Amino acid sequence: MSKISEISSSLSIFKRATAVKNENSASSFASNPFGISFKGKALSMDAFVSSTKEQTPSFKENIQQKGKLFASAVVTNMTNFKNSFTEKLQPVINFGKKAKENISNLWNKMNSYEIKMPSFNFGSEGKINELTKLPVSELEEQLSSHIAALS
Amino acid sequence: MAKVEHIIEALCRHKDDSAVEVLSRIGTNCPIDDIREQTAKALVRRNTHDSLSVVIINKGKGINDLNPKVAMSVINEIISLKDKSEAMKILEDTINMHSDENVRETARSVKALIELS
Repeated sequence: MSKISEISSSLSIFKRATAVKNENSASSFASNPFGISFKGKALSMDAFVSSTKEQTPSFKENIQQKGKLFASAVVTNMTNFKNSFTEKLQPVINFGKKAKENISNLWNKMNSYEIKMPSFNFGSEGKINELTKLPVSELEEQLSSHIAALS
Repeated sequence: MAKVEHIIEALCRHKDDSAVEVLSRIGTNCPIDDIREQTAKALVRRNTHDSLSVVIINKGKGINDLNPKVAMSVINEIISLKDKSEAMKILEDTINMHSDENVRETARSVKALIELS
C-alpha cells in the first residue's frame, strides 16, 4: 500500500512538471506571434528584419546638409558685404571720375594753347638774305657742290 | 648741312622763278632724305603754281615721295599754309586728270585732310 502511495505521489509530481512545461511553451508562443518553431524549438525573439526600416540620416548626410547651410550663409554674407562695399565705394568712384574729367579738360585747354618759342637764328637769316641776292645759277652750283660733298 | 639748308631757303625766297626748276631738278632728286624733305617743304612755302605742282603732281616727289616721313612732312607743310587756294586747285586737277591711280589717290587723301583741318 505504501508502494502504491509512492507511485501515485511520483505520478502527481510528473503531472505537475509536465503542466509547468506546457505553460512555459504557451508563454513562449505568446511572445512569438507567428508561432513558428524550428527543429522543435520556438524562437524566443523576432528574427525577421523589417523591410521598411526607419531611415535615419547618416553622419555623412548630416555633414553635407550642414555644409550646404554654411555655404548658403557664407554666400549671403558675401553678397551683403559686396553691396555695402559698393555703396561705400561709389563716392570714391564718382570723385575719381570727376578728377579725371577735370584733368582731361585741363589737358585739352593746354593743348589748345600754342606756345611759340622765339627764334634766335639771326645769323642764319642774315646768311640767307645774302644768298638771295646771288643769281640762281650760282646758288645751283653751290647746292650741287655741297650735296656732292655730303653724298 | 646747315649751308645746304641756307641755299635751299635762299632759292625758296628768290625772286627769280628759275629757282623752282633748280630746286626740283637738284633738291627733289637728291638721294639724301633730309635734303629732299627740306627742298619739298621750301617749294610748298613758295606757294606758287609751279612750285606746288612739283610736290603734288610728280610721282616720287613731295607728297608722293617713297619715304613716308618726307611725304608726311610735305603734307603737313601744305596743311600749314595760310592760303591753300592754289594747292586745292592743283589737287583737284590732279584728282580729275592725272594718269596714275596712286598719285590721284594721294591727292584725294591730302585734299580730304585739308578739308578736315
